[in-house]
Amino acid sequence: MPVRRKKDIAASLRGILAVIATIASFIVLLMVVVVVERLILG
Amino acid sequence: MWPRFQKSDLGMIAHYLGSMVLLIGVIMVFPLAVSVIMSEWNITGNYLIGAGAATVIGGLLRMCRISPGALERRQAIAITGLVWIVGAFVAAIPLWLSGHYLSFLDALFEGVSGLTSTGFTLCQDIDHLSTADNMWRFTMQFLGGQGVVVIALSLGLFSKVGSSFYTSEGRNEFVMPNIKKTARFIWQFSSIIVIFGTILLFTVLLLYGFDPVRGFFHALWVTIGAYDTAGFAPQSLSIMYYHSFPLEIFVMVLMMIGAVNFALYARIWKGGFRSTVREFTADIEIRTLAIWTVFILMAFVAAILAGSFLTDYSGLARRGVFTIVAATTNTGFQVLSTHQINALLSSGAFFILVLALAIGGSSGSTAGGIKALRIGIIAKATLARIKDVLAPKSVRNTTGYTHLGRHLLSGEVTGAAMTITILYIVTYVTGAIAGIVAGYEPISATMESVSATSNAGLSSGLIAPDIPVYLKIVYMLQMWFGRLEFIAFLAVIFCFFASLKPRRRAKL
Repeated sequence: MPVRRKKDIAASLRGILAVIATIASFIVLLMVVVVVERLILG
Repeated sequence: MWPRFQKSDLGMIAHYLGSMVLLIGVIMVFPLAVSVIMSEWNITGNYLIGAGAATVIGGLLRMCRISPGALERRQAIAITGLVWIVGAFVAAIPLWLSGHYLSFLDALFEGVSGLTSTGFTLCQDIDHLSTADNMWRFTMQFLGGQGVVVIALSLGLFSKVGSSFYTSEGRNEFVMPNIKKTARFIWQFSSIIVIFGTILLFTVLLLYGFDPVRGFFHALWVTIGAYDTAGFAPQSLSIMYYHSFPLEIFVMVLMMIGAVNFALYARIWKGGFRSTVREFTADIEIRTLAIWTVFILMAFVAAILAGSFLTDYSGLARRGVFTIVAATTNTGFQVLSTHQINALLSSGAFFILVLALAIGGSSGSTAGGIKALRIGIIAKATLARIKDVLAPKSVRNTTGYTHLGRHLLSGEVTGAAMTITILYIVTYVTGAIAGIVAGYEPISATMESVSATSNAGLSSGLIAPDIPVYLKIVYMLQMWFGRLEFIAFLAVIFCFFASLKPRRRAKL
């Protein structure tokens, strides 16, 4: 596989990982807020 | 002769368009996750269908060309023009399924309004919209505010594209050495502002007695709406709902941050305090914006004082300043009800509000409208012309301006600024005539037309589900035109019609 193509695929993968990481952090943050409200504050 | 699309062009366009639609489908995971966490199970299905539709449409489009080459300029422009149309159709699917819209056209209108960061809404009973649907409305605004293409570029999803892909979305300045770094800077900077803004507003809302979860969502949504100068609000009363002066102050700051050029922030990011101050004070766009805002604020206050509304100074300062900031930044948040705008504002104050909407914020920001930079360039070119007329024939004057460095005020720069300004004015007038023909008051029709084209979303109350279908289509076209600053859209239309025309055979 040409080096250029490999670099392209790596850049795309990094992008996909960034999307997944953003969504995951948002979900974790939201769950923390929900848990705080439901369990601690009642 | 107009360039024509060949069969190979269509395959390339479809491939990249498919990638963008897939990205929109992936982003639907945000509202999907919210619906699951908030136990809104009836809404979860809508987003599964929406994301599924995006996957199928995007996948099929990508299959039109399996291994694409490097993009040409006209292909990039066509993709940008089309992604805002196809994206709005895909984005409208879960909204339509929510049952809060009378027809698919109304949901599509909401999709266009969201993606172009305008803020007009045709939603029925917005106060009882589910958390997931609201999350999707504001996600669309964040996506549209930064630019769908910018987000795709920052994620490195398109490695074989040129600068034309970036500039076709209404952005002209490169803030970093290459396109990917520029897009990434915009994305990172925006994320930081949204995080800080959310924390700030969340604290205010908690102090005002909001529950944590509700406070978190409202803080996030209002921050996105303000920073992306978008104007959707989670409540029908817009910012008035919160009755909070500190919140209004923070929202004003966020709106102003959103209305300043990203390129200027990048310079500040890289430079020190001294260069920051120098950059800010010397920039033609910042100077024009500051002078214009002060002038329009004074005129608005004078026009209000001439009428009977808001004669107490505290109310004037609070509502008047907020309204002008929301209008000049093209945000569209309201602290005046539709009744107050229509019945109590003097026609002069109303007209000044329309003027503020028409000019808008900075180029390369999330704000819409003609933009302060173009007004500054046209004003400077006018002064230069007067200087030329007065100067002796042997003298040749040159004029420069400061905007991200020192530039010569050439005929090309002035011509480009004039062209876009004229296109904006023509679109404002066309939309206003469309409203007048439908039987609405000229001033209201003009306000809605200007508000749609400048992607502001400030409404006099005309925008409602019962307006004629053709008017909804006119406003949607205006929102698209305004967001892409005409060129990408007009290029797609002209190329499309040129491609349909049969080729002339050469005479032997």
